This record gives sequence, structure tokens and C-alpha cells, in this order.
Amino acid sequence: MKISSKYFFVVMITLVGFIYTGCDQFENVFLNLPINKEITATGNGPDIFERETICFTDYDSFNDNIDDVEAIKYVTSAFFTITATPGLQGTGIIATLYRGDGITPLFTFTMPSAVADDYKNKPLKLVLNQQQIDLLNNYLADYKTNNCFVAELRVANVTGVSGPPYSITGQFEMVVELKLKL
Amino acid sequence: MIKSFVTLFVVSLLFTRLTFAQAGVSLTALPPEEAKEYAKPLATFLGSYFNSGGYYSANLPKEFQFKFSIIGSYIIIPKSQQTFTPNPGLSGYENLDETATITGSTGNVYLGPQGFISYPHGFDVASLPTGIYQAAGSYYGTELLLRFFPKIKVSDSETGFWGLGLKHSITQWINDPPFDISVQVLLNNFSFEYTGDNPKDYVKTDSKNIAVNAHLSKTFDQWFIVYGGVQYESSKIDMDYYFRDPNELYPLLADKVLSTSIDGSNHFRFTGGAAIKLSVLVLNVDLNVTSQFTITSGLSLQF
Repeated sequence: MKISSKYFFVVMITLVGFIYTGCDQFENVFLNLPINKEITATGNGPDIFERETICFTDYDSFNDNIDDVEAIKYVTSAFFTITATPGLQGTGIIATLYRGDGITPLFTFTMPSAVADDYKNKPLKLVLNQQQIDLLNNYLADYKTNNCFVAELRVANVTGVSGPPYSITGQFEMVVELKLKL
Repeated sequence: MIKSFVTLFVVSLLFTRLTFAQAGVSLTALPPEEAKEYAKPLATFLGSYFNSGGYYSANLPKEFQFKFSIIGSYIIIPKSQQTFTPNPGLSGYENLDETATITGSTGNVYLGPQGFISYPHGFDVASLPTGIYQAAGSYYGTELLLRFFPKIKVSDSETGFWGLGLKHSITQWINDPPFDISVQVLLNNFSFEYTGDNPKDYVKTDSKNIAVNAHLSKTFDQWFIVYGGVQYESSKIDMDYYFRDPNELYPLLADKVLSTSIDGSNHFRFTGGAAIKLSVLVLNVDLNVTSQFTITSGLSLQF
């Protein structure tokens, strides 16, 4: 075996060494944070509605990583009915998410069916348009200040087999992605 | 907590950059059966890692010989191990699309009768470099190999590692063999435990890795060695962890320390490599065809 192959082999090993040290380090990790809020709206109509405040600080996964959060991004959201006055329906079942001030809406979503039971055990994914997603993500960009929301559940022109009063308990769910630094 | 976990691992596993940090955070979201599938590539990875670098020659002299080696491995995780099909065991959440394993990318979110079930993201890694050191001494054709890192406590966690290998030269029992033959057994154990104050962060892992191999080598001109071998190996992680149930779908399991056992998918390994001896210095590289293809290189001092 010629001496040149010896050097070739040394070069090979050196290259392998460089490959090892040249790999990307883990800089960020991502964590899905599921958020949910039960909302009960009760009243005599014509509209019944209720609001609840949701804050990231209500969730351990956020609090445990609070110092390492670099960004938060909206992933998806959904609504389903837990209980409702028998036959409850209206001209619209509407979910609205506001900024933490409870004044500025981030999105309003009107369910395709205005019958509460249609969403019992059958959650509806709230498909937002790009503008609504951008608005949400812009709000989340300043997550240190904007870490709360107000969620509203409203049934317009409510009627039911029984009542008034009418009542609906629904659950609003949202998943956001936390970008964490290591 | 994450920082301290990372520091701990970098220190304890030398060049290894894989950490349990996020694994711990992510696993708290999964019940045991799903955690097992999510973390399976990690068990395989640890097996690929610790079961590598056991030899670069089958030759063992009758006289006393000592070796100290620094081993680097580059482990490639195949695409098939980047995802798994979840089965959360909940009515209405069947036939789900794939989601990321610990080495995969994006954790999927599924909508069912009880709302969302969100799976953790992975590290998004297709390959990982690792490193380890070891010392071996042999006499009369039998070698004892040791790997050791003492249990140390850093911040809010504790980790330790040990490995043991026993190798015997078959060549010495054969008259004028054309090449050297040896057999070897390797045992490696790696442990990690969260020891901080927050019970919700609790993770304890015990990685057990066993390998049995037969290998042969041929030395040319006293300095160039070609070697290869076949190895049966297994890897397993026993894990206890606090299950937080962030999706609130497992009330009977939530907020408890649960246990699971994760088997790696590495069983057989075929190794081929070469080494050069430059006086007391030995440099070697080998390729390992196993569940996670591994390139290993070593720098050894051999007396």
C-alpha cells in the first residue's frame, strides 16, 4: 500500500470530524399549547351571550417556559356545544375573539348551522381567512403584553322548545404554537 | 429548566447534542402508549450510539495491552422514524394522520368529539453527532472495556453513565488463521432524573443497551487494518414521567407519575471499516448498517 493512501485515510477521518462539529445545534424547540374555555350564555333573548377571559398564564406549559418563549403563533381553533336548552337555535351562533381589552375583535365566526345540538359531540373547526390569521398573529407577536383574550359566545334571535330563559354552554378551543429558545 | 437539562447533557455525553429537555416537556402531553411511539427513535438512537465503537480490530495479543479511545459517531435517522400514526385510544379519534416522533418535525393537532388533541413537535433532526470515550485493557486475548461518567447533579437534574465490554480472541485457539476473529459483549447504561422542586417536571429515564458481536479483521503491513462484524443488539428506555394531560382528555391518568418502557428498533448491525496505526496512535472509521445508519470514527492511543 502506498503512503499516499495513508494520507488519504487521515484526510477522510479529518473530514468526518468536521462533519460532526459542523452540524446545526438545537436552537429552538416548538411546543403546542392547547387552550380551552367553557362559556355559558343564559338569558331571555332575543340575543343571549357571555364573555370569558383567556390568558396564557392560566396554563402550566406557558408559565414553565415563560422565560424561553421567543414567539407565539396561531395554529387552529374550534367550537362545540356541551349543553343547551332543548331545541335551542337562533338566526346565528357566533363566536368572537377579542383582544384582551374586550373591545377590539380579532375574528368573528358565524357557525354554518344555528342549531346548538348540531355541535354536540361534533366540534366545528373555525376556519379563519388569512386576514384574520394575520390579525391574530400580529396580536400574538407582542405576546409579553398581549397574552390574554376575551372569547364571546352569542346566539342571535334565540328560540327553543322550552324557555325562556335559554341557555347554552359551549367550549371554545384554540391551539397556539410556542417557539422556545434552548 | 430546559437550559439546565441541555447543559447537563452536553457535559455528560460529551459531544452529544440530543437532549431530554424538550423530550421531557413534550412527553408530559402524552399518555404512556403514545409516549412510547413518540420516543421510540430516541431509544433506537441511544442504542445506535452506545452500541457503536466497540472495536477496530479483532486482534488481541497475549501480552498486556491498553487502549484509550475517543469515539465520534454520526447517526442518520431515517424518514420512516420521523413520524408515527397516533392512536390515542379515545372514541372519535381513530384513523388519524401521522404526527412527528421525537426526531420528526411538526406535531399534528386532531379534532374529535371532545375537542382538540394536540401532539408534541419533534426536534426536527435527520442526523445527530455523538461522542464518547472509553478505556480498554487486555491480557491473554481477553479484553475488558470500560466507559464511565459519574452521576453528577447539575441544576435540577442528575445524570450518569457506564458501559462495560468483554471481548475474547478466538484466533488464539485456531492454528494459523487467515485473519483475526473475536467475540464481544457490550452493556451500556445511561440514566437521567429530574431532581428539581416542581413535581410536574418529573422525568426519570434508564436506558439499557446490550450488544453481542462477532468480528474479524486483517492487518496489512503492521499498520493498515480492515475489519467488519455482525452484531445483535437491543436498546430499551424505562421511563417514569409526570403526565400533565394538557388536552384534558385522560382524567384517570392526569397529574400522576406514569411509567412506560420503550424498545428501540435496532436489532442487527453489520459493520465494515478500516483503521491505520501510526505508532501508538490508531485512527479508524467504520460504517454501520442498522436501524439508524451510523458512521463511527475513533482516535485511540494503544500501548
